[in-house]
Amino acid sequence: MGFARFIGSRLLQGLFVVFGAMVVSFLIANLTGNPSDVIGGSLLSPEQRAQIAHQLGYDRPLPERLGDYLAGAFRGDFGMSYQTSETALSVVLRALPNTALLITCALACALALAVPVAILSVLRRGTGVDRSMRSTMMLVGALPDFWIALLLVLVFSVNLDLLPAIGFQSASSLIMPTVALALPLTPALVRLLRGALLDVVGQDFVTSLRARGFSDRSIVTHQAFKNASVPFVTLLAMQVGWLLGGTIIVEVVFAWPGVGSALNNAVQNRDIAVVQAAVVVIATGYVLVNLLADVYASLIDPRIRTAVTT
Amino acid sequence: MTVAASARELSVEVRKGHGWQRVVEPLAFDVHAGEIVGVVGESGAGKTLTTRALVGLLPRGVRASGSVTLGERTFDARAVAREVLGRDATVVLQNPTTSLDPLSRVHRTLVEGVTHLGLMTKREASHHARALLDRLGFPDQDRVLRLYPHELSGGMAQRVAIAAALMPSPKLLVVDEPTSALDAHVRVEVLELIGDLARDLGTGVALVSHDLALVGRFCDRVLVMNAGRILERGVTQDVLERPQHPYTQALLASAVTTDAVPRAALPAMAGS
Amino acid sequence: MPLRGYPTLQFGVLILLAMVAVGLWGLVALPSADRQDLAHSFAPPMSPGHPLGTDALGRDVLDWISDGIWIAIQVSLAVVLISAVVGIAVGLCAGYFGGVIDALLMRLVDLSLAIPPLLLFIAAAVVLQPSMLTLILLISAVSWLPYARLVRGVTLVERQRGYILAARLGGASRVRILVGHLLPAVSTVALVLCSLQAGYVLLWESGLSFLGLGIRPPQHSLGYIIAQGRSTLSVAWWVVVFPGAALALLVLAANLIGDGLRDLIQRDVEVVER
Repeated sequence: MGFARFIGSRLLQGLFVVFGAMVVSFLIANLTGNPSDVIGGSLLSPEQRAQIAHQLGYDRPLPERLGDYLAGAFRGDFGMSYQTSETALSVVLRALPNTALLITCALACALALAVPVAILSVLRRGTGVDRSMRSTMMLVGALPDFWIALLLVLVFSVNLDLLPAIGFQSASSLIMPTVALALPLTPALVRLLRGALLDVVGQDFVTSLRARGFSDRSIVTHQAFKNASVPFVTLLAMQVGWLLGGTIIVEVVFAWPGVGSALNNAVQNRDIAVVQAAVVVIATGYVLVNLLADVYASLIDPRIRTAVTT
Repeated sequence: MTVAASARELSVEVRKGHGWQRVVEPLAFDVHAGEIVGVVGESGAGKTLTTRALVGLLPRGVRASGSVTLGERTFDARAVAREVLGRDATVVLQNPTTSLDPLSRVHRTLVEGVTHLGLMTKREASHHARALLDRLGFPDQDRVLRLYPHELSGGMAQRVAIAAALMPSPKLLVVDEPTSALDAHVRVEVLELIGDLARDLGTGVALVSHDLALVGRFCDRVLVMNAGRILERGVTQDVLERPQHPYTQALLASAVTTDAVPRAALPAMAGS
Repeated sequence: MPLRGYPTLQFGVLILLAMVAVGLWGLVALPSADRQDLAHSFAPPMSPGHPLGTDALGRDVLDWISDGIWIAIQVSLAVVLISAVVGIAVGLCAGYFGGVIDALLMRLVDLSLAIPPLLLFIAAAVVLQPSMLTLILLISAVSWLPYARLVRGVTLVERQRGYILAARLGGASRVRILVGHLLPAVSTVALVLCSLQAGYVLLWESGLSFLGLGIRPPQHSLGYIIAQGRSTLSVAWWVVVFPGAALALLVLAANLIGDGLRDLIQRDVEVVER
């Protein structure tokens, strides 16, 4: 069946991406030549540094190290975090559920805002309503997420004392990080969905639905929405990394115990193995999300199910 | 003969900048029950907008005024769509493959309109859909109902589109000339089917076409349009054999063709 | 005004000009940006001599902001220029010649989507010394890809057009076709991208500086100023609010200009096609 082949080809593509992320994460660590210089800093004598480099295997030729690194990475072995003496991967994976929770809430929140806005602006396209909504979205989209985060803290923690400013103690801790992430995300979702809907609304079958007695509103919220959801979900999944890159900073602002905070902590402490593991884990997450989007698209659109490739 | 639909003082305007520009001058015509009226003219003549205005299916930035009567009821041309579309009047678009929702099986395409408007229950609609498909020459209706548009051939898609348009047994059916992407013999077949069904159901058909040969074969009466006006009208044979207006004469002269395809299937003059 | 009928573009240019004016003023007043005045710490906005207030060390917030705006403009201009030049060149070659360059480019594009840019910059900061130059190079290392992808797409379409074929048959060299014919065809779309991308660059730069991984004193990025104000948020909201607003206005200007240019180009394209 075409479906299995389609998913198979996307899986292969995803594998390439994960492989690429491993290479990139290796290159990051080796940008300056020898990570032991970075770890040790200037505090150690040249002999001590050479010893560390030898221990970590950095005195061997680059291709050999890359091969070893990749072999380890594919087994999930990125070495130990020198801060916690856990494996680097487990440091990242422990933080992952919190980040996943935050991102899911932010996406749900942004979608709940973006879907009605996009639908309304398509129904009222070309009118003042459409224009004013587009301007509002443009304004919201220009707000830096970490600034929104601090403003929220200022209002709801400092002044009103309603919500906890940092950490993850209760469900209420989730509110501010979610809003800080969802707000700048919403305009991007509106733009994607509005574009997808406008593409669909211009098609012949929409005219023929009108001819069969469906109102514009009914078409846009049902048949056209379903049609538009396929490119929308695909594009959203494709850009999810770019759109949610700010998660790292927002996590840091709220001291949210997620991958972003773990990454920031690792960077500030030069814990290279954890940084590498985080890069690969996030790229893997990206591939999985895109795979989910592909499955969705092929469930909704019969043409993808029967298409031979791509 | 009863009148299925009639237009009075029907005109169409298109938004231009901040104002409106009239593209169809006020005109009047009738479509009788069970007859096919051909609306001919070159592209830009206003034939599509006129017939669309009759049922209220106009694109954004286009508006109609005047009045439209369907059966016993008369409507303002601006409000006609909500009252008649999908009930008393439906439209078959030019390109059958793009006019079907790609995500819906044939069954849903046929059933959703009439059930949405509350004209039939789901069961009645399914039953009616099968009967229509049978009438349109599909031997295995259950199989067709399960197919998606991309699994249909052009001719099949055209017949499904017609079935969808005929589901509510409309008084008026506006048919855009089937796309030239269809084989010539398929187009003829499709138009023959429409003619038969229209006579059986007592539906009046307005066929929009730039193909005089096609009109000559299928239409009872014909309206010749140019630049938003009806220049000539009458029984098809009279108009085609004894054209009065110079424009009709020119149109006919330019449609004279050389190949040996039977008259009905002539691709005729190029309009668009 | 030549931009009449394009309010978004007008508005964007207006904001940008205002911000540039503030930034230029900061360039003139640069030495004062770091001047501490402990006698006037935490002066609220509208204080005499400090229209936007001062921070814990009595440094003037407006001076800081104009300094930060200047930095932001420099970084985004540099990144946009570098990545546009590299991206357009690679995109033209990939689209025109195809083959290995093309395949490689598309794999890189796939990869760059999978690793959020901010993640990459932060990860790279683990081994790089933060400075304006490293930051510019680092961001450019990612930002040229969208240009390359866009230009590749346009080139693929354009090379099929009659005028390219005519030029080829007329014996024009490859370089001449690429530079003389295809470059003008892709430059308008690239211009839109430049403007839209400047918004991203501004956010990345300030975000990294906010984390202390970007630009550091003596140069003051808006992100760094906001980070400084964070610890005194409960006593001096203005140290966080005003720099953030300045940053938001810059991003808004970039987005407005990008959006306006897109409208402008689309409208022109339509006129040509009719």
